[in-house]
Amino acid sequence: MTTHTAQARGFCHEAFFHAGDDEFLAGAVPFLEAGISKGEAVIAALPEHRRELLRGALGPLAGEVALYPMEEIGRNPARLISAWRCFLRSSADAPGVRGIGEPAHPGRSSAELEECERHEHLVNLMFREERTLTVMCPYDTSALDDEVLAGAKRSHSHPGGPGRESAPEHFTLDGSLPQPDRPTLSLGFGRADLRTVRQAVASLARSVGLSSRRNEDFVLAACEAATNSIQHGGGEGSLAIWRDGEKLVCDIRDAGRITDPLVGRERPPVDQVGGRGLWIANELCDLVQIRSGEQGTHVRLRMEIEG
Amino acid sequence: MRAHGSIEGGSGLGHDGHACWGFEDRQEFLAATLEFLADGLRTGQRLAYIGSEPVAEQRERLDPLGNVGALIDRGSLLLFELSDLYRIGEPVDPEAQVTAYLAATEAAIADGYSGLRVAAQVTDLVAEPETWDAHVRWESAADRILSRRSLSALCGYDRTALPPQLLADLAAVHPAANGCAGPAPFHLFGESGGLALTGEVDLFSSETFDRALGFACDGNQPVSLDLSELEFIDHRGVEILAAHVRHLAGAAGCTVRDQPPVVNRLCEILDLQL
Repeated sequence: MTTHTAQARGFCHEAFFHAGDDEFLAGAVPFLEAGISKGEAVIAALPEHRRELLRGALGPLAGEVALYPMEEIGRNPARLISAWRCFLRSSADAPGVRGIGEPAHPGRSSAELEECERHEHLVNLMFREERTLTVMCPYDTSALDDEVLAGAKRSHSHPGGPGRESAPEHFTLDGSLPQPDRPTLSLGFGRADLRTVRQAVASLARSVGLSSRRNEDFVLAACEAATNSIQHGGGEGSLAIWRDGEKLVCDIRDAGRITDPLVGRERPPVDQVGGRGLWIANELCDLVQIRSGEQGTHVRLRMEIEG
Repeated sequence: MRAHGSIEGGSGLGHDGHACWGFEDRQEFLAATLEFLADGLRTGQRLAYIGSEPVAEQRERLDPLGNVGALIDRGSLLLFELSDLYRIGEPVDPEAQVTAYLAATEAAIADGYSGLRVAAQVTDLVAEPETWDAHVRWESAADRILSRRSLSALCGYDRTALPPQLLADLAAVHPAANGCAGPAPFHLFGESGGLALTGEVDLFSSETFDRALGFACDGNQPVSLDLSELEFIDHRGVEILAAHVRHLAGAAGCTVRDQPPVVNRLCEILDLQL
């Protein structure tokens, strides 16, 4: 186990490697207590099991910590940056903001964990100018794969490490996503085909048993992504849908390139033109994966069938 | 709700129906007209036909209705040349038209009919681009009037002669349409003293939607907008709707009701008020 070093000024984003619950509490409780004693705004976004542990260990101090269910606010990790931003805004009067966030918790799928790592890089990019933000991200070494732990070292500073290995401003949306053997349905679309896109997604969503609300959400997200392809991705795109275990997956690809790695992570201001499609998709879907580079843009939407 | 959506024929539009029919040839519009007028005969409405052709030719073309001579003689079927009722090439005068149609409907009812049913081939009224806006505005206003009267209308437009955008605008302000709208058709029309929006609004139809709202909401009357039969709207559509609601809030006001869950979800996600 390693212990953190709290930093009062500047932006600090540290990985906290621990094995199991006892080590988790041994690191998390003093970290939070130190913030409370300094009058900082203190937050913890954790899966249910660790929230309960922390509540018990903090005792009467638990009331000083804003506890958030990671399974909800971070179900899609791309929603976490705006959650942090909200908390920072509401804590503007506090001398500092200190938080624990465990998006990469045991039990998450590999696609989710991949997005968690990307999220952590984007936290560095988004908040690098913050003057009083201290974030500690627990990684349970007893339950997470080595690959995830190695990723945490790349995206966080960590005790004994050299600091973050790459500058946040160099993070891009480059990369690729594993391809399905054979999608259930695939089609090309243009400006006049958005209705066809909606009908295709709705009918497959219905056939696998998505509830009507989640079906509507998924159709809306797919339509917004396809609309982006038409507007920004060369006027056309392609769509593929398939079932992956207990999830429905929808891919939208086009020839465009997204250069802002933070696209869709924050609510666009009312007067901003564009930039809303992926924000909406992030809000509606259980997971959104965006890869964009010279080869074009690939957006993958996932929805749990039993939501 | 009044008959709305895409239609395949001229029948079944009801006593307050209003359909836009974009035809490729006159024979096609005639077939729809005959179905439309036959419905009116069955329900006791007075019939009227307005076309560019001379009345004698109209009479011949409507022959399949049966007993056309007798219908005309007893005032059950009125025939007009377009140029008798409108000044071709000039923007339509909405007030004069409203007065004329209301008077004709009242007269039909006074004469013992259940109302008035008009089929009109009006392509010539939109031959000049400068008449387009006034014409679509008139169609929108006329729709709200006939939604409260026993007055139904089938409006024929030669779609080979008109630009797609005008046809889409026309289809949008009629509750029902054939052969006019693009691939995401919606309709914004008079319903129960307010307005109803049905169908689908997406990137393809959002500009048309913006214009249709402008035509339908003049700010003089408070508007209640019924979204209960709206099948889809994307975030652009909701933003356009919210902008009109905001704009009307300074005038007579606009209330949105019975919106599908997707509308509330988009408002929440984008922090918009309706």
